[in-house]
Amino acid sequence: MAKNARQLAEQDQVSQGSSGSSTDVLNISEDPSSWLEEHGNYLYRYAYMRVNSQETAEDLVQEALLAAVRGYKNFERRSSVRTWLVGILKNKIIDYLRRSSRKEKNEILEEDNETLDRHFNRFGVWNRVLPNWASEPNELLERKEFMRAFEGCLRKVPEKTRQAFMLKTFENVETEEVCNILGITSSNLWVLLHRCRLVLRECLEKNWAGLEQ
Amino acid sequence: MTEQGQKQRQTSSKDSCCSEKAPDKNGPGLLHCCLSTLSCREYSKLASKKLDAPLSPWEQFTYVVHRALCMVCRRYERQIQAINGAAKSYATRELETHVELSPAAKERLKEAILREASSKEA
Repeated sequence: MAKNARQLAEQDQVSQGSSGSSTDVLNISEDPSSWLEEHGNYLYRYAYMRVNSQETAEDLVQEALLAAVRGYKNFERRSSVRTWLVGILKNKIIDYLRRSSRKEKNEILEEDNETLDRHFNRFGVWNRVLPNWASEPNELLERKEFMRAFEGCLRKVPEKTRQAFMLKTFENVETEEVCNILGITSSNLWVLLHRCRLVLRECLEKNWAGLEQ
Repeated sequence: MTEQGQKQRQTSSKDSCCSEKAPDKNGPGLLHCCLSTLSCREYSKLASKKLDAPLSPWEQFTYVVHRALCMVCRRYERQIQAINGAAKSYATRELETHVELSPAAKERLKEAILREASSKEA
């Protein structure tokens, strides 16, 4: 059992009320523990990338798998098992972000001069010429070293900033819903996204060797 | 990074993109930036916002004018577009960083799943 057991979210993607009898059992050939072997690490990496905490990622994977076990008879097999499990996990992650955003109050949501002053002089002009990246943008996605550097840089971004960026770009969640989940205004959201991109770009410049020579 | 690359970087960091001394070598001159009605600082905000939401007509106008004049801002925009593309690809791709459930975590999860499955049978 994970150290911090969490209550399940009230609405699961698959919990739609049981219509089965009390004698319903899971088919032995559809052993849920096989989901752990086949999909556990994938789900874990999916969650870890989004919540940046091993413990939280484990908890969320457990919640998702337990919800899947409970709701398996409602699985209509219109998608693969993995896609279905990821869908459940995604909802669990969003619920987690909604809960944790109420607690996290320390991050600056308004425009902070400190980040911007690092990049621009008093005239609002770049402090220096940004070096060019040697590859075309669409080629970068194929480069493992770039993606590895990107993942490392993303982990260093402050929590709320990273969550905003992740929800908006990874998950393509609508602006209004991102604001709702994180308890912020749309102005706050633009500030967080802008800050995240500035910081990520700067970090990649320092940690990735793919600059134009 | 090579020594040559490091020297290049040090050199470029001394000049702002709108240096009066080298208006064309390193980017548009200070005069150009003043004429564009938008600073690079403000442009960077619009370039970011544009990735997620439409700009207002005035924002779009000032964005287009500044973009035409400022090489560094065009470069910045390409780079954040690449970053955005990398982020969007995570909707479907796997992590490059190798992380896995620990054996202890797997065991805990397995027990929890079997317990849940058993309670359904009961």
